[in-house]
Amino acid sequence: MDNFVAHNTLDHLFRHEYSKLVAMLTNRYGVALLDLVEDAVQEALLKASKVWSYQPMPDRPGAWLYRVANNQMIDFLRREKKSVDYETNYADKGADEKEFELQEDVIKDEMLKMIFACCHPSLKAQEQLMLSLKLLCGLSVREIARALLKSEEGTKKAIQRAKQKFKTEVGDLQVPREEEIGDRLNAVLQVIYLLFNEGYKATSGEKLMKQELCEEAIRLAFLMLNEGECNTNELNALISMMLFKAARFPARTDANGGLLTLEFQDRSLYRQDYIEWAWHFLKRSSDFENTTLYQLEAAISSYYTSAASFEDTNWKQILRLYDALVLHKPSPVVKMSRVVVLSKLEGPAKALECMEEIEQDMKGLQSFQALKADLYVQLENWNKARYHLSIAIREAENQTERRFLEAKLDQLHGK
Amino acid sequence: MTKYLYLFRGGDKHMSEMSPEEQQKHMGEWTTWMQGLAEKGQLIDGLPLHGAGKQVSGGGSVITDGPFAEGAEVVGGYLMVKAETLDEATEMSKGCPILQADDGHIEVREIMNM
Repeated sequence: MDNFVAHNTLDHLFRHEYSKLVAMLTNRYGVALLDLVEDAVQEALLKASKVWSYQPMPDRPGAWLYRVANNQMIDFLRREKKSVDYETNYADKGADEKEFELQEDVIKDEMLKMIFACCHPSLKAQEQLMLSLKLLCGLSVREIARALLKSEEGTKKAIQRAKQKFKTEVGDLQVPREEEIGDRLNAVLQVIYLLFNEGYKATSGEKLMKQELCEEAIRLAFLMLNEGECNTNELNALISMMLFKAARFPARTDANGGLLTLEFQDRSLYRQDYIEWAWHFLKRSSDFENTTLYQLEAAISSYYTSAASFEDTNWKQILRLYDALVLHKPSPVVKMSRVVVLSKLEGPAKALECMEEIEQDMKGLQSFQALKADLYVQLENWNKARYHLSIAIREAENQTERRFLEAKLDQLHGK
Repeated sequence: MTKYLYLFRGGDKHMSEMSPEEQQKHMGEWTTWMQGLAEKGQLIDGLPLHGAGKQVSGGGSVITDGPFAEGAEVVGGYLMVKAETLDEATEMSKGCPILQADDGHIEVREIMNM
């Protein structure tokens, strides 16, 4: 597994160092000083990027960065005349510096505390997501805005508000105690799930950015594995689901960056290494007794990803899994996914019938309208297909979606 | 071959607005450019300069802090290279990533030698 997560450590070294350094310094100086910590880390990276432009990076860049960022932090505090309070604190912990350089475990532990802090119950789901992207993934405001397809100004304000809450509500950074770890872990898994889905949404406008969100979600989930208390059925199943889906990434777009749905993907491009690990984690999740939602979702993904061709997909099994999933999580989105599978087994008319149940909740979403259009196409009811496609185009969230839908509408021309 | 000095100015604002990911990418572009010079045996030495410094004048009696000039006027780094002519040295400098910044510029000077 170490090889699997380590293969791209240098690829995103700065981004990941950013998150490690922010975690370590926030642990050291307290959440109230988060802004200063971020500035200090930013300074350290800026200096590093200058020096390492001219000369090779040291063997252990992390240790170098930590020292520079920590010195910068002390500098800031002196300038703000907080030195008296913090120097005592610093003197107490002065011996730590060597340890930080040596112990990968300490870094992982501090990261873990930071993950729990970013997913603190006092924060709303969207705030948890924003803070995770900023502090745990090392993305800039502009990158977050791009990844979530939001305006830069709005994103900046949202992050500022979330940080304000973080500074006043979170308190000391710690891994939750045994009695509360269950709930807290659920919150973390939900953020990872959300992060992954944001990346996986079929909107490839910023293809690279999107894919990186998925990679980040997987990276955070792997970090959670280090803590025994967190190594649960849910976590293993969530990792499995993400890997099964991420395996399809190389096949999801055509040469021009257009979207390819499952039906049109070249399955020989699927990442076999991801699939192998996905099976491994799915098996590990079954070592525990209970069945969980993430397990059902992982199992569904496993059928989609491992079918030899689209036609060979085991729709029956997938439908059974969706039936179970709907029982546990009767959300409109899950029900709609189930309808897609149902249409393969019982035809479009039956599927359309089932869609009535979620009409009220879902009619404003392009995916719902586009699905309806697809089903009407199968029934050769061209007028209704065109009608729903035009609504879908109106509701589309971005250019890529819109282009994808417009191409479909064009195909109906003259029918 | 003659030695030439590149004096780099500006580009700081550009870099400070980058995300960690972009900083790393930018750094990689510098490394690639410098490696190109090194492979042709044209790179001698170079490093970035710290923002802080002193100005000494008046026969050594006047010492002030800083360069304290505007960002684009401060020398942020230097590089010593080898080239046949000033034109060649100038041409070689064009691949430098500092030129991606609006205010980034390079002064190319021949180092005197008798």
